[in-house]
Amino acid sequence: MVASNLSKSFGSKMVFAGVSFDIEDEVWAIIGPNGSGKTTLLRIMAGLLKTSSGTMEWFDRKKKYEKFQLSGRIAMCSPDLGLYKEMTVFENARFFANLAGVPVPDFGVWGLSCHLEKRYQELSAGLKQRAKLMTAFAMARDVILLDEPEQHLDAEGKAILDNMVSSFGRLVVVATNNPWRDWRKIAQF
Amino acid sequence: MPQTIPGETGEKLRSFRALLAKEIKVAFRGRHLVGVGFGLAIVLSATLGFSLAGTKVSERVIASLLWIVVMFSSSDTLSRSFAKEEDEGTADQLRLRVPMPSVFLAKTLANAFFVLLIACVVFPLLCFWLGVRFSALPLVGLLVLIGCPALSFAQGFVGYLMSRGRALSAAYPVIVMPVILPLLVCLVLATSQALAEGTFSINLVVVIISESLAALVAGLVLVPYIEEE
Repeated sequence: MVASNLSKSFGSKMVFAGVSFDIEDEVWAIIGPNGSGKTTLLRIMAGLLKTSSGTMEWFDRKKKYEKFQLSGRIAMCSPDLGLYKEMTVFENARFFANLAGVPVPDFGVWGLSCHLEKRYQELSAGLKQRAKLMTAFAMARDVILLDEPEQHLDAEGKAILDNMVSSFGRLVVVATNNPWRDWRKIAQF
Repeated sequence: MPQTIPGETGEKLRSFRALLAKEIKVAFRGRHLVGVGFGLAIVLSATLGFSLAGTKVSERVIASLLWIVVMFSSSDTLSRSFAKEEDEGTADQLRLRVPMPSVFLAKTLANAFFVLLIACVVFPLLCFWLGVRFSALPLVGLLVLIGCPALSFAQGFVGYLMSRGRALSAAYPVIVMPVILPLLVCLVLATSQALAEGTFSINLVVVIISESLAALVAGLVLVPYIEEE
């Protein structure tokens, strides 16, 4: 994933400018306080948002990817992204696994085995976050983008997350204002 | 085209089946379809039925009432479905996985099924209360089978557009009206012919099918461009 001189503004409000990076399979971090543009940058990396200027290249650098052409290769977990509240944890996981063409994830790893039949809306904030992380990790093929992933997690949840991030083996980008490891930085706002 | 569809046909079909099943599951477990869709259909049918029972009502008025009740009962299920995905952040989850035309098509087809179910509540009730001849029912049933998906297809793209421009969502009924008005008029005319004469003009059915398919195809073609912007 290569970015050259990215900038993003919404109307007259400049969110960030001059962001460049060249990253490969490893864990990377975007660090900054609230409102500094971490989520916006992640959404650009996911192909969900266009840049105002600069270029973003994914995977095959000779190919020009348009928005949404990255379907299936990038997974993301963000406070802005939800699961279906009317569906149970198991149904959500199965639905997204079907879309991604991957097996249903191991619920035990995330400590969700006892909550499979609960609807997503019935879960506590911490369990919702675990369900979202589990779904994202299950679907991730090449890249996983995590926006404040430790949000709402208890100590056990954070340990699971840390383990999953360390063992993913491909490109992981974590946007956080509180890095819990000394990752290499894409940007510090 | 700014959007490519990854994977093979089997994979696409599996994704599409999953999307369709999800639409139906979420709609039946949510409150809107059952509470508002079916609720409104029953209340409107009963009100009209009791008000007009025993009155001689012309076939064209009966046909108008039938389709107006179906349209109002089902008018915002599709736009709400699109808007709900955006509000709850599930739309972006889908964008990361599947091309949006697949989502658009699954939602429109699922909505066609819901409109058909609502019509299955409205038509028997109104036909019973307004004293429609039994001999006309098979043709009316055929028009329901054609008309309900047609209404859904015609509303699909406007519903999707409204969800992308959230400030416009309150204006949905106004914006969708010019799109579905010709369709509604054709459906009313064909249904009134079926009720009065036991037959209907095939030209009307051709217009209904053509307009709804054109709206559906326009939606499928334009969704990627709107997503791109």
